[in-house]
Amino acid sequence: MRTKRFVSVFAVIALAVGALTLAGCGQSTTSTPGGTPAAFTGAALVGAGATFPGPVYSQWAQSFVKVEPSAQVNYQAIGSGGGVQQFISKTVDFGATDVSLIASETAKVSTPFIQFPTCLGAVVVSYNLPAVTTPLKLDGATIANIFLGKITKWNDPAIAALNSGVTLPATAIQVVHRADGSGTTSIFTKWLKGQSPDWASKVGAGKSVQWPTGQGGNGNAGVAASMKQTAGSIGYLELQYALSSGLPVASVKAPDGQFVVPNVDSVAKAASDLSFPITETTSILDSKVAGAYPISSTTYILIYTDQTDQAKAQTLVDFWTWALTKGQAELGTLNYAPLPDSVAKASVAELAKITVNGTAVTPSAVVK
Amino acid sequence: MSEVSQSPRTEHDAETPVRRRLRIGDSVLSGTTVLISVGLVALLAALLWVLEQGAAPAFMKYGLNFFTSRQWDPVNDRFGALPYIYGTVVTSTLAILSALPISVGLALLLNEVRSRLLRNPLTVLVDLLAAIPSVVYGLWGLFVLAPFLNRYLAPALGATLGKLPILSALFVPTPAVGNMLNAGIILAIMIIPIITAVTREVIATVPHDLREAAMALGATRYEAIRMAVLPHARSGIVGATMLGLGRALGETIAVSMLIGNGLGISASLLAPGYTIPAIIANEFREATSTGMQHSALLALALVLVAIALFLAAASRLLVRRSERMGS
Repeated sequence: MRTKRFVSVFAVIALAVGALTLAGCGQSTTSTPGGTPAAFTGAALVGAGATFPGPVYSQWAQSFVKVEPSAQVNYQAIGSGGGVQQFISKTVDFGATDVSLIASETAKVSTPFIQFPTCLGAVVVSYNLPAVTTPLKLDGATIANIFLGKITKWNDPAIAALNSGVTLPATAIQVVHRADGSGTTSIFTKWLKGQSPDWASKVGAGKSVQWPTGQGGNGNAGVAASMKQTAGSIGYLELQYALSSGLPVASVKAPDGQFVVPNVDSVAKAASDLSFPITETTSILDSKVAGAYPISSTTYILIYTDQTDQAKAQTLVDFWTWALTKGQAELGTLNYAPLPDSVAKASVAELAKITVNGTAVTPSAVVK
Repeated sequence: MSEVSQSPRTEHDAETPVRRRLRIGDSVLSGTTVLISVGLVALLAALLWVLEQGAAPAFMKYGLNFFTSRQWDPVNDRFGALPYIYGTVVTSTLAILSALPISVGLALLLNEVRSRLLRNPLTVLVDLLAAIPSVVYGLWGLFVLAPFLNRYLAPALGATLGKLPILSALFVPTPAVGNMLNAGIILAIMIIPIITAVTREVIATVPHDLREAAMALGATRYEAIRMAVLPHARSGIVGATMLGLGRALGETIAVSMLIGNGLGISASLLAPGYTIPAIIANEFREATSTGMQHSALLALALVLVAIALFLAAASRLLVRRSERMGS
């Protein structure tokens, strides 16, 4: 009898769960863009690559359907490395990468292509010190020494010298870094490498590095969770994540000696002197522009210029033209920084190089 | 068979269609099982072959150093597996040591207790625990279990066991949220349902005669369990433990969320560590194709398979030896 009752309890639970799941599915199908396949006549684009701009590209893809209902853009955030590989093997319509193509990769690309930035982001140094209410100021050498494990207490003279007037506690510093390979780590370590010869020789830069100290968290969320649970912790997060996490962020010393607070404006300034064409050495780290946040980064799209499918080429040009103009307005809500106007215009000019069997493709009227 | 041969004619005639059908059924069954078992072996061989192909460059380049080096430096292309092997073995051992007594006790309780009021809900709960996805364990562990353990258990252990001469090295406190102790405990919670469920079934098969005989000789209930039930169920319990160990060794996401993912080897269980599945899951997606990182991760996977096979073989040997000594 009892078993029967348990069976019936299980059945009820199973039904409830099933109903909830179905309800959830129903919602997601109705909210999915392009949910009316019957009306779909345009080209579907497939792109793959960097995880960093993933939220932006999905948002753009959703909004673009309202502009051009026949277009479907499918972006897979598989990582910059995978994006470049798929671009080279021509299995996607566009590739996305956080690091501009290096010479050895460019050599593998057989036909001409364009490379342009789409949006800006930054890596932010965040910390958990309940006793300190004034935002901390840090410079490159100090941050490098903290992450090298050489500075172990918050009241270290090096930190105190940068923050006169702030009473620093004698708490031990607990470093939290990303455990998963990520573009965020790549940008952060690349910047540290330029700041400290010690960092360059002992650790270097990459998507995953041999951290001399600390513990690793999974993704921005994992790092933030570990930081919130540990008083005295320091870590690095993507701009958009740090600003919404509620953790305090440090101002970082720019090359001109000024301390710059990371926000959408200071990151945009860093990109204002970006020049085309994009090459292996293109970088907006440590920008010389006044008021620019030093650990800023951009992310790139790769497209072949010689297209063969008219519908696909038209959608490619339309989508990216729209993203670089009207789409930029949507970046603020996602806490990415929009491109400076001059850079956005130059990127649109790059798109004009796309041709179908030799004929140039002009953007449709709807995206202008 | 002997009966058939003694009265061949009549039975042969009467049962021919049935027996023929049976014989067809037999051959179909044996054919399918052979096919499946060969397929299974082939699958394992294919898996090992692929891993070996991918891992070969790393083994060729680093040789035995791969097993003894503490370096894991994707930037300079230097890779060593020791910290990951250490972390995997320590957390799995910790998990088994804490889960086994609880599971066997729970299995005994579920078998011996007459009251259905206690038994049925407990059985359902244990089975439910087994059905919870590991990522949910990980989330719960990160936001609930880890803060609790770090606030209460770690200081308590440090103040008691940490004061003893040799054990003190195991409980040197660190401020890290994630550590090997937390990972071991979440693993223990995850494998308790598996070990309990299998052990419960094994104990249920112990003949009642044995228990009754022990009781008739004047044994108490505890003595009957210890002398009659547990020895009879021993190989089954070892098998259950192996299943649990298999899950503990291979568990990825929950461990990665709780262990702290710290490089290096520390004697203290309260320091961050790293396991083989965790590093593979963390780094594989963005592993560089130019250097050895990709190959080193596949080599780690091969090492994990080797550890699992070694432990399975060792436990079989242990059972056989203890059975021989017991009889």
